[in-house]
Amino acid sequence: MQKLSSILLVDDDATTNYLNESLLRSLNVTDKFIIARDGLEALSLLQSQCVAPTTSCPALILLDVQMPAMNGIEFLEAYQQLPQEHREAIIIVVLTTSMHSRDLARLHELPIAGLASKPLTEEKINTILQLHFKRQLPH
Amino acid sequence: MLPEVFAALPGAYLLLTPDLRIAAVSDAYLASTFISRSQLVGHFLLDAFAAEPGTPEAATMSNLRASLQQVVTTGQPQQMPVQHYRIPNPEVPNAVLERYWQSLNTPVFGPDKTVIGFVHSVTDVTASHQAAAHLAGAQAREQAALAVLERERLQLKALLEQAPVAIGLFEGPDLRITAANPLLSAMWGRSQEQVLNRPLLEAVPELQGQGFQEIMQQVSETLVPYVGKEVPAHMLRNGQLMTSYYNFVYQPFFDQQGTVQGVLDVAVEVTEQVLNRQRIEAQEQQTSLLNEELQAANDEILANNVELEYAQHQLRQLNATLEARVLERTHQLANQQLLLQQIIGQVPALVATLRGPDHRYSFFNPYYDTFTAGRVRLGASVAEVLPELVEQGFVKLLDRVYATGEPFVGREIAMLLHNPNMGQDEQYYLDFVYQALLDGQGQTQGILVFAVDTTKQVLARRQTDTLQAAVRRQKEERENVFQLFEQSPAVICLLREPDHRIDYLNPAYQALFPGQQLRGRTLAEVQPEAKALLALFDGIYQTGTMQFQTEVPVTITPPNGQATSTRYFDFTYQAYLEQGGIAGVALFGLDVTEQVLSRSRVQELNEELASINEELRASNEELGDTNEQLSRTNADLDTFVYTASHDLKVPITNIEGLLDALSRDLRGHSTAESVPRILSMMKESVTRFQQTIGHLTDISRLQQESSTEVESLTLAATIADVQLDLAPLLQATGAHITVSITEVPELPLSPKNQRSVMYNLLSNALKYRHPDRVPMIHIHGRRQADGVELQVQDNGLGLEHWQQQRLFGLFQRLHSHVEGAGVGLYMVKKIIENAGGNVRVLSDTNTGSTFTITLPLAPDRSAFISA
Repeated sequence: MQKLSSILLVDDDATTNYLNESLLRSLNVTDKFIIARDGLEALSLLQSQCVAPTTSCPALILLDVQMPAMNGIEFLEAYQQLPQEHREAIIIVVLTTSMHSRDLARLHELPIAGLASKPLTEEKINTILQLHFKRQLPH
Repeated sequence: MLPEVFAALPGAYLLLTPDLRIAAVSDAYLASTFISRSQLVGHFLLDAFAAEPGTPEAATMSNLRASLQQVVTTGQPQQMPVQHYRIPNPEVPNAVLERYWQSLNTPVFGPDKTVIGFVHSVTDVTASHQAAAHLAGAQAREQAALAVLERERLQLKALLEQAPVAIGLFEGPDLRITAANPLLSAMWGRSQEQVLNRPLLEAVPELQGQGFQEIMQQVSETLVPYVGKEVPAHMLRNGQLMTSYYNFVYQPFFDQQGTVQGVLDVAVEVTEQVLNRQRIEAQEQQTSLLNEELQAANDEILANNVELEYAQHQLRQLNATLEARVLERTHQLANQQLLLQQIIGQVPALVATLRGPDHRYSFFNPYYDTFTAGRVRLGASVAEVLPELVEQGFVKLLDRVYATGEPFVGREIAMLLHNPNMGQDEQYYLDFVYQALLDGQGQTQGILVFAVDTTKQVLARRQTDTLQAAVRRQKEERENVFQLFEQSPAVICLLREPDHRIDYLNPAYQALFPGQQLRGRTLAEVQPEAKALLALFDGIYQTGTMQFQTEVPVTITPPNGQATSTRYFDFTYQAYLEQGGIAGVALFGLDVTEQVLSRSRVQELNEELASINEELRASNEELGDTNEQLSRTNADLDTFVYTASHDLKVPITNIEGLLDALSRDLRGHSTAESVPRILSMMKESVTRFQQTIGHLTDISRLQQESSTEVESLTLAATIADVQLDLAPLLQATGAHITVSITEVPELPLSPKNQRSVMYNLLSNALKYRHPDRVPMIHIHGRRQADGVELQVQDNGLGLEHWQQQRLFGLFQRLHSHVEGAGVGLYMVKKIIENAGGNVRVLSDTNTGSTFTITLPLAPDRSAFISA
């Protein structure tokens, strides 16, 4: 399977970031991980790294909702305002524990590719790859 | 032989000599005057009938003498007018009998044509005179009665024409319209001329199939009145069929003999009322009420009918009495006729004797001669000289009398006699006798004809009969119109003259004034308090303007002290016209009590509903307030539950993921060094889980105990206590804290809450300090009109606008670099709000933040508390 260029993990919980990174690494999905502790950090990362012609822009963002400073929804609202070249070909999947219906409704209006409930598993990663990257994990 | 013949004459005759000495007297004369022959024969007339001067008898004698003188002078028979001459009553001494006499004085000529005597014939005409006088009196009375009836008839007919209710009368199986007032014909959309005297369905064909004529026929057969209420009918209006509604009564209409003459229809259009009522929702059935009322009216009418029947019975008895009297009179006439039959010669009757089977004249008296215009001749036969009698059957009668010897008596037999002077036939009526004249052997040798001309009486009687029939007919007609009003359910009253004297009223009107005599009284007498009504009537009488009053309450006071009742009427007052001038005011009233009452019930209901609505609206407002409060609380709780569940789930999810990672690592025997790290992270997650549970317990405790503590601790003591707790952080940062709280020695909070608020605000000010500035914290308390204000001002990081919005949310952490559970400010906010106060923040990223708390001095314990 062809590996993804890089994955951005956005979560204020260090344990979660550790778990997701170690799972993705063990499945050989990518070799490059970028970690952000809240929305603000993620946003500045994108602004600095996704300007053409650099190629360090992440192919996939796994985004938490409940975060201090800037939460996932606020991040997506700000992300929408970014110039087109910062957003090109980035797949954003939102990881949730529990969702308030108000937030869920808001999410559907924002540029996300999908939702996945925590914790992340092999099956969920495979589904994301099949749906959004036309590839799957080797058996 | 002569005196004997004279004595035997069948009439009352005196034979007088020229010097007025009585020469002979007939037996009949003696019989009718109760005088003996010896008192008369040979006496002078004036001696025999001596009379007191000044009496009718004296006048009679004077007239007689004058008449005889006349006879001498003219040589002609002299008919005297009827004379009043009383005779002594033979059965009662000193009493007299009233008698009237008709006399004829006839000269008797000698061979030299000189008067040699007089035949004085008298006829007792007392009976006929009295009958005639009686008849004349009766005629005069009938004429007067007729005039009264005519006036009443005209009056009621005019009322019928002007009535504001529709009235009609239908007779016979095809319901011929014999009466229809203008309103009724207008209801049909036609003129009176178009409908009168035509069968109902022919005059108003659109009624076919609507069921009205079936009901009328039923009423006519069963005699049960039919009451229709708000019955829809399809009627022509401006040439189009429209549905309109009517209240009406069909009731059998009786003539004076008590037999059914037809069906009376009294109708009122109620379309507007029905449509109005259909618009409002009538909740009660009014039909039964109306029916009861109509039943009562019907009972009254029935009672009226009983009275009328009694009156009719009396009339019939009177008729019978009158008939008996007529019979008696007839009998008297017959007697008189027999007397007349005996009179021969120069009596005021037709006398003739006929001889032989072909009835040849052997004698006829002058009267007979005059009567036949001189056409008869002695020796000629009846058929020859009076040929018109042959075809009228008189000669055949003569033949029969001649053949059988039986007399023939004819009474008021019509006879046409030819009058050659006039050249035409004339009509006579005769009472006559054909009597056989017998010879000594009892064989018929001729016929005595004795006839009295009764033409005048017959004609007079005919005229009387005609007159009586006219009276009867008009009376019936008047009765019809009268009954229309008597039986009408509408209130009708007619007042005449400028002082409005009640001239006519129907039973419905009388029912408004039970037990009061109304007829003949003026309006001012009957209703002395109704000044306005009087003015209204004066106006109508003067100007002829029609007036209306709607829904007028009328209080009915029973005479026996029973409770009064009030009914409502629509009144129409209009000038009553007679010969083109205003003769009075007609009042028509329709009972609208049911409509009024039902409407006021609806109004009451509406008012009740309005007040209920008002109450509901007020309670709705209250509920709205409560609801808003509940919604806010609910949203708070919703957020709380969501946030709490999220923060509880996160560590569990982490443990789940860590377990997966652990089992994966152990399975792969790969990175043994990762296991201790994973285990440490699991422990951390469990700790975080326990912390969250602890925070939630604090929060729920906070909400339970909010209003129970009573002890107090000064604010200064609390701040000192908190500074002690934060001592390590204060030392590490070198922070300066200034306190200025003399105005506010104590917050209106429990000591525990006061401490919690101060701890969170002070620790936040230190935790979120600016890295380039030494923390400066100022605590300032101020007393206000209705509470206290406490400010905690720092020179720290400050907050962005979006951060200020989320500041007080549960488990909200705005800074990633500082440890925190996102519980502190949430608890501050809850404590302050539970005490009826509020907390707000003013912040700038350059200068720092100021938290301001306001609290009421007497905390509103009843304020809604989320729990």
